[in-house]
Amino acid sequence: MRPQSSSSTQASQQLFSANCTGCHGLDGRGGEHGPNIATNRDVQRLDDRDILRILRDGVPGGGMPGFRSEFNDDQLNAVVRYVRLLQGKHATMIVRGDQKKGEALFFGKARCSECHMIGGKGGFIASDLSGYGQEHSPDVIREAIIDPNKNLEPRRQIVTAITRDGRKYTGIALNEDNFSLQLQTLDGAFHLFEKSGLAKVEHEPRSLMPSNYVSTLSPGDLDDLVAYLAAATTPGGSEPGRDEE
Amino acid sequence: MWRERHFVVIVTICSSFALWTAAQTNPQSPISVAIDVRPADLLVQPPAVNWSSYNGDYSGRRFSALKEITAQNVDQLRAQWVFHSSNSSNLEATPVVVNGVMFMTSANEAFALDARTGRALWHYSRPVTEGLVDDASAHHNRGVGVWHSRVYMETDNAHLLCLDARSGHLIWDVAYAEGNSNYGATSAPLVIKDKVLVGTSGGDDGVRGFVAAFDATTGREAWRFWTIPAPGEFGSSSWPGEMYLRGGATTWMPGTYDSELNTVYWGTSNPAPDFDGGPRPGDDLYSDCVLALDADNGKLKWYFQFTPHDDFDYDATETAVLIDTRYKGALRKLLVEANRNGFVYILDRTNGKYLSAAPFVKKLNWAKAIEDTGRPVRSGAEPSQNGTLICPDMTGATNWFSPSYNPSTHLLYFMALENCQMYFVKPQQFTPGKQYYATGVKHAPGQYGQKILLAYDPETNTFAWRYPQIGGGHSWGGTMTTAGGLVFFGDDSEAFEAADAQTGAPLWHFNTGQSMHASPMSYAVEGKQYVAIAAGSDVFTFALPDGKR
Ligand code: HEC
Ligand code: HEC
Repeated sequence: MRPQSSSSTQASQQLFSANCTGCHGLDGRGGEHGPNIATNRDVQRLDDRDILRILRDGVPGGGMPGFRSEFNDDQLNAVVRYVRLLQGKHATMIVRGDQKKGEALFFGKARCSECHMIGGKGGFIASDLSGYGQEHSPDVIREAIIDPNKNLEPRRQIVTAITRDGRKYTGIALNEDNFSLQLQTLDGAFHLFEKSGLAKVEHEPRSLMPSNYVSTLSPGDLDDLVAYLAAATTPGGSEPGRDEE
Repeated sequence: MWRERHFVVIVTICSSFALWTAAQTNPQSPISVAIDVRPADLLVQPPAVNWSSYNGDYSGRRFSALKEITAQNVDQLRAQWVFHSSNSSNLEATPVVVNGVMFMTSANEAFALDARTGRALWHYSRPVTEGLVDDASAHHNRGVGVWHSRVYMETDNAHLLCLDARSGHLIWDVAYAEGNSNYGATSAPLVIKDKVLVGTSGGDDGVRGFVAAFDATTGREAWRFWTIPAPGEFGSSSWPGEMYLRGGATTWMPGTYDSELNTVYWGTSNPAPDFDGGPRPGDDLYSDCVLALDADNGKLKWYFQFTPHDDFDYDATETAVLIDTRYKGALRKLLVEANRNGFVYILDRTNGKYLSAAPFVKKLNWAKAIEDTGRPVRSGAEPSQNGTLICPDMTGATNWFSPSYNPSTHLLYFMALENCQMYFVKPQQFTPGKQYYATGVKHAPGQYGQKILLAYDPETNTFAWRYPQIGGGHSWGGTMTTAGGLVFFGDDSEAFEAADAQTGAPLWHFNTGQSMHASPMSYAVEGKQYVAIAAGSDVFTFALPDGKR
């Protein structure tokens, strides 16, 4: 992909501000009338075609208008690019580092795979990072590794549930509402609580992820990891053949 | 660290067994679970606490041993929670529940839910596939298979996905139907021993059907049985030239399995093109069959064809229900199937021998009778250029929505449809990306569909009761039966209903406000019985209020 010239970025930003920000917010992270389309993983995972279709046709019955009649194709594509920019995709940056070494670190010394999965291998307690590099720029990846507590969503904090009879469970809250809590401990077990049975739920404002990689990994290691994550994709699955007969 | 007793068990890091007992006495206790479903766990029959596969167990009976909810208290049943899918308005899956965790699918998405609250534990999704045809383009999906700590699902474009049951992360992804863009998949995989069995959709679209088995660990293909013989093989005379590549006989519902015989029973769809028999002379093997396959290597043990040379779209993908019962004085291993063609069949499942058939709808004109061999005597009615009135209609006298069998009442319950349609034929060339029906059906003047819930007694080959439904005849709700003496089913007016299994008397209903394209199931958490069904874009669950239990 060709890097976008700043003037066309400006043009697409203008289209976005004029048409989308009222609902989705200036940064795309959600407003009064529209959901977060910038950092929501499900929206990040949509491919350009899907976003284009949503922009063109809207979401009937969902409060998202269609822009078929307002925008021409170029304008539609420009807005898609801007949404991608808000999502942190396609930001140009040179990736130093050695993917192979990064892979070895991920599954070895750096122990990332104890929590994360890539390409079908690794842990379960943290996110699957296959394809993460397609959605995030190298500097975002780097920051995620060295400063996991920056911008940590409350949902992803460490949570401890204490039952009325004093048992303690510490892990990740897979889900929580006013009346129930679904917690996963590091051994993979699900613990399904009704809050009426809990004495206390404690949220620790820090990530399960080690926050000292900046000191335990060398700058070269970090480059290698970033290079590996930037290139890692989802496992297997060739597309079925298109009319080979 | 994982400890397990029997199927599933409650495991926790602190106090595994003590916690389980505590949980039963204190409704507020946490449920701590590990998902580890061993192949032996899948042999448990009938299902009770867990409903671990599409039909609950391998027999296809959809009989739950749970009996907290009975004919006496079912009128107290209350909604517990609703799960909403944002990408499917026609959920077709039957939820699978293991240890208080429910696994559910929508279009290319899978969810793990807290079965007590409906709250999501994880969610896997991939975009739906553009450019598919027919059923696959509607992205229907009927649910998951589970094995150890893994969850398997099919995608709309016929990939088999292996997910980590602890996180929903994708472990592997195998594209298993190549070479023809008209393949799709809508079924739930069937896990047997250490293999995952799948089929495809596309039977109306000119593909070659197959059942395939994949190693549950690696995703490597273990075997594949083509449902249309290759040139030179037995049955190939129906498939001149390239027709064997287009003849349908797809495998779009999960099969059933007898572990003693090590035999898988898998239904096949109609041949293609559906309404034009010209390009496919003869019986069109193995379309409209139940296939008895060796579970280890996929070798054909026997087959039984319900509708040879089908011109009516009478897929034989209805569940082949495995029933062990007294039949004409002797204990027999039976296979009972209410077929889309309007007859309910009884076979000896050890060898495929035909035992009996009975028509279960009055509107039936394509056949006059069934011979002693099980072969139909055709009436001569067939689709024509100007249209021919044929019954049952294209939806069939019944269809994939589930039948169920209750060993206490000895009755098979299934939803029947009385209707006829005008069938038309116009020869058509196969084109990739297009359906391959060679035309279709129209409403026939004066014909209106009538749904009837039937209770069939295989031992006497008679119907114990009939419960005609009020509605438009367009519903797709299946059945499930319980040791509490009930039949749960989706009725023809968008209500989920419970009827007395012995008499058919309606005892309870709940208006879901959406049409059902799915079959019910039952499970228990901490000794409390739930029943659940998908309706429209939602899963509804029900249980008795705590004070009434
Ligand atoms: C009137 C308010 C409104 C405006 C204006 C609007 N949106 Fe939306 N948008 C919504 C709502 C509400 C949804 C959620 C629809 C649903 O899924 O039910 C949505 C959904 C989306 C989605 C899909 C999110 C998903 O979860 O799949 C994208 C992408 C999106 N909008 C982009 C845009 C862009 C780009 C613009 C400007 C061109 C825009 N929207 C303008 C309200 C709006
Ligand atoms: C002890 C568990 C653990 C280890 C070890 C760990 N992480 Fe994480 N990581 C987490 C958690 C928890 C999060 C927060 C959200 C999530 O991704 O689940 C996270 C977040 C991330 C994110 C941001 C993901 C997102 O969706 O925003 C990246 C990138 C990441 N980790 C990379 C790494 C790398 C590279 C390593 C090894 C150098 C590593 N992590 C080691 C637990 C871990």
